[in-house]
Amino acid sequence: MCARLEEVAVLEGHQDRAWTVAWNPAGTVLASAGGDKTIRLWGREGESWVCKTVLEDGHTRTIRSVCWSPCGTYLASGSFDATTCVWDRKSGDYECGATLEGHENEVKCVAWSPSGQLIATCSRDKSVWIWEVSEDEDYECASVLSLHTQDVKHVTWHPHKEILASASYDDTVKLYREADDDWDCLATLEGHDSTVWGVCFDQSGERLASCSEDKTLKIWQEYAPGNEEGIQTPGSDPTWKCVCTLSGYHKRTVYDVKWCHQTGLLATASGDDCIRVFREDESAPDRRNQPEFSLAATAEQAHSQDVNCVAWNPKEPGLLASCSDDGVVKIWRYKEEE
Amino acid sequence: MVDLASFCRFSFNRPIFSTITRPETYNINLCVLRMSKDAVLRQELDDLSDIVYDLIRDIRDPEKDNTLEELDVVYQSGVQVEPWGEGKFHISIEFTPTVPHCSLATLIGLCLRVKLENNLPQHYKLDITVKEGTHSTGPEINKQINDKERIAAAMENPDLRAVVKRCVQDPE
Repeated sequence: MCARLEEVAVLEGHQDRAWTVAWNPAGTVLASAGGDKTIRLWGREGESWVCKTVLEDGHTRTIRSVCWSPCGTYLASGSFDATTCVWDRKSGDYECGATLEGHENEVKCVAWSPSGQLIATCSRDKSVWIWEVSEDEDYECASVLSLHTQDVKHVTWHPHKEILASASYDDTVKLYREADDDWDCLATLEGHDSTVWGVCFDQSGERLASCSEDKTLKIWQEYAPGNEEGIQTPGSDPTWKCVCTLSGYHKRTVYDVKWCHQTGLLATASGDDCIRVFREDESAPDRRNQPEFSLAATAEQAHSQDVNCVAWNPKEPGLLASCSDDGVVKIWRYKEEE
Repeated sequence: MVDLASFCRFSFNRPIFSTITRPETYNINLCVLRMSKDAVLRQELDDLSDIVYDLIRDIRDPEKDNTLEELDVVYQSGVQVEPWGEGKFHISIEFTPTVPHCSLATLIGLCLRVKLENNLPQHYKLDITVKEGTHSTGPEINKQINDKERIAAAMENPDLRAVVKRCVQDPE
């Protein structure tokens, strides 16, 4: 079986490098943002994709990250100006209704929890902040986690538990959960040889994929206390073990990795200008402890410069968005052929 | 590739064709054709390497009133250019900080990158490194000056931007 990535749309408009793309939960709107300090919202018009709205004046510096609330009503944006904006469209148009301030410098990533009640942000100031969303749309800092020794590059939530993962310039991934009214680190994943740029959970939440400047992708498996493999766990917390390293595929830094929760496919964005899709071999003899992944498709020269971010559409299996230093946002369709 | 190209130049300079007997001519010609394509590429890479060096040699040291070339921080042999896919290039620049604990090494790295970004229209991938053993924290500096997110953020800092601008502006 062979597969390929077919280019569906080329979306031009950003005046600078595009850092981030994010689908709304319904999969109907794609948000993109970057160095031109704007957020562009793209939607379908007939067969084609067009820019529906441009959100401006929320930030004074590069917008590094955008994320939709699970209800799809709000959009959060994190910026190098050290703030996070929460946009809503109560008046009909999107407006920045709240600004989350606290980080000392660049916010690098923002992630809304699946329950919608928490927002995580991370920064070059080495900290991860967890914000509580109250019913009257107040955002209060619930915890400041300063456990990484360097910039925190990325944060992402477990798909159905209140567990947060963060990736850092200190080459590690950390996992956190709430305990005794405060947040605490439950595991540190060591193995990458350089900056970890991205981390994501699979649909089950029992697996993580991380990507790094060391040009590899690592797959981590959760082992709960009393696991049948006999892997030791610290107290009542699970432990995480690297069960697979994908090396030799990427020629430069891997900036992003995303696990499609519908198809199980892994997509990567790399500084070698390519987008790659990896597929797990379902016939591997020991999938849990020794999973095997193979390269299913590559979009060679997907962009003319570094690919910074990829995002699977949450509703339409195989639909993938990407953005790049070349300022272009693209939409791809993953196609398998017998 | 370098060996092939230099051999090619060598062969152009020597009257080797005169000694070739007729049946071999066809094969040899093909070989020469292929080599000259490599030679053309090598020439292109050498030219780009010269362009890159010309761009960085005049960058001013952030502290001293000298250029990086005058201080032997940058040198022609520190610039390497290789092909990177179709029509793109991989550029690596090695530099030597003036002293092993030079606190401005990251700023110099930033200046090198910005100067190329502002002046080089080609699509390229750039890696900048301090010469091995010339700085007390070489690996840390290398990591920092090649992190494009940190670079992008640094260039949005008005103070830093002004310093870099002063260092990279063309000499009058």
